[in-house]
Amino acid sequence: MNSKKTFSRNIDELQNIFEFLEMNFQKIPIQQKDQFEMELSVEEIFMNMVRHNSGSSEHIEVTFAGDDKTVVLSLIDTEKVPFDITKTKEVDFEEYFREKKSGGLGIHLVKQFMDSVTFDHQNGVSTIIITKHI
Amino acid sequence: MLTIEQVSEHELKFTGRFDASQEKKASDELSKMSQTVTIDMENLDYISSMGLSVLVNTYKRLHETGNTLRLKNISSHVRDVFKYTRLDQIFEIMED
Repeated sequence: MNSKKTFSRNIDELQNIFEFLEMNFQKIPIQQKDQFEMELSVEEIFMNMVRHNSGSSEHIEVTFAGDDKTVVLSLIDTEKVPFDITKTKEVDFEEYFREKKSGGLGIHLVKQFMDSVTFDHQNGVSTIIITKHI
Repeated sequence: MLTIEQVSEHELKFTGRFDASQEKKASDELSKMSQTVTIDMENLDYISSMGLSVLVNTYKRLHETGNTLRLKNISSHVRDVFKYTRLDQIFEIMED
């Protein structure tokens, strides 16, 4: 099954995104743990797009494709300067804790929880696709 | 939606979902705590990195005055988030 919806670039849209995901998760046999990890990954990527492309007023599109084996989610954003999350540095936890940082863990979690994370940028449009085998 | 209940002078109970939209509410509530505080997470179903960031900032602030942040009754999904970010080695986590 496939579904898509656009969301405004606003933190208040998170609840609507979760409702969109929940509506789609109900149509496939998915365990709560997998659902949790996919919701978290979508939030992290969405918030990353909101923060790193704050000058844009374009909506962000979320697409859902899933069956009894795999869920594939895409987040599509219009951005002039691409931010490839797959190329972010691995978190150096020793440095992280030594310097007592408090952010930057979101993309790390996405990479931990998903089986695949891809990034593509063409004609000013960035597409991040996350895949999880359920 | 995240609900924060003050159980006692030094203990809070988090219920629901701690996503990025709940950052201000949680930060405001935790900023009132100046001594060691325990957060009961038995009914916390979800936490994202923004939630972690609020907890880390609270831990850092309390730690500067010799206090700390304790977490208890963490559900399995939420526990995974702490495990994969290695924050389970930073926070004092009280086992069930």
